[in-house]
Amino acid sequence: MASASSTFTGTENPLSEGGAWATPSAFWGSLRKANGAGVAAVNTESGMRYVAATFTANQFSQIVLASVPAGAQLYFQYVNVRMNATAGLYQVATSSETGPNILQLYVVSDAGAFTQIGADITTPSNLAAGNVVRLEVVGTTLTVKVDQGSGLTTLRTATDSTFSTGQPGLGGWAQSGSDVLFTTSWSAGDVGGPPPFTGRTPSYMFSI
Amino acid sequence: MAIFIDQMVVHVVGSGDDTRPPGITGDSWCHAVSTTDLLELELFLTTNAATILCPPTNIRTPLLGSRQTYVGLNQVQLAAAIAAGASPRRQITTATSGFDSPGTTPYYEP
Repeated sequence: MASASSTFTGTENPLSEGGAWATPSAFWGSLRKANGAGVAAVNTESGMRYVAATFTANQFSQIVLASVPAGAQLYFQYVNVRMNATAGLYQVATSSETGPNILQLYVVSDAGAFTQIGADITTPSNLAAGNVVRLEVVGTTLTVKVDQGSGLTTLRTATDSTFSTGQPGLGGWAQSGSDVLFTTSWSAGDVGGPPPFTGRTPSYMFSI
Repeated sequence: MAIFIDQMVVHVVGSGDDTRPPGITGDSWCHAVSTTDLLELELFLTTNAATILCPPTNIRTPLLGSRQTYVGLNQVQLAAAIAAGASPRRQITTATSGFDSPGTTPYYEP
């Protein structure tokens, strides 16, 4: 069962952490870290995938929000799963343009076309620093979860079959003047898998 | 009352990425969107043509009813468009209305 995490300690631009992070070949820009994660360039769709471990197709990715836009600020955090080496992925995005309590689920093609899956997702309360946003994919089922202080709560379940493999990751977008470190930490892991072997030898394997 | 413009997309010849929009002669372009109507979009493009230095052949004339068009820009021209008053936005934002379609079903061409 693969798993990974980062608190983005230290400073790197672009984010690398020893080659653990990779920017897809098309469309996406890189991230940077400075005891938190943000975009490397403003006004650019930014996203990186974790490549230091191989994750199964059933995986989750989650972030802790470092902040939410205030005043005229405009930026968005992305949580990505099944992010391939070209550009394609599934994504749940904060959507401060739409509302402070809105998340949106997308499938993004290798050419960079965003297609929203389902209607906007409303969180129980306005998103805030410290909230956890999580996206899981198992088979063709996508599940969006949020923890706003009372544990992870499922807000949306949807299905899509566009991508069957890929790596977890994260990303974001920030407008000029809103270039903040918007993510405190990230973690990911495989979901499910076969039940562990309990060690009992089945009776049909006894020798005669 | 505003012009939104998203990030530059670069067509890589031979990559299998054949999404270069019709009417664009270069390998880079972005999307320009008016939050109001076609007239505002056309006014922005013509008023700032000398500043942005985008040849008219690289501005796809938006069809009647559309608030969006493609503009072939390089990185310098994109920065000039933002300096001229266009507001940089995510591609998600520029895709909220369909190209050449005033209907309710968005159709986004990357």
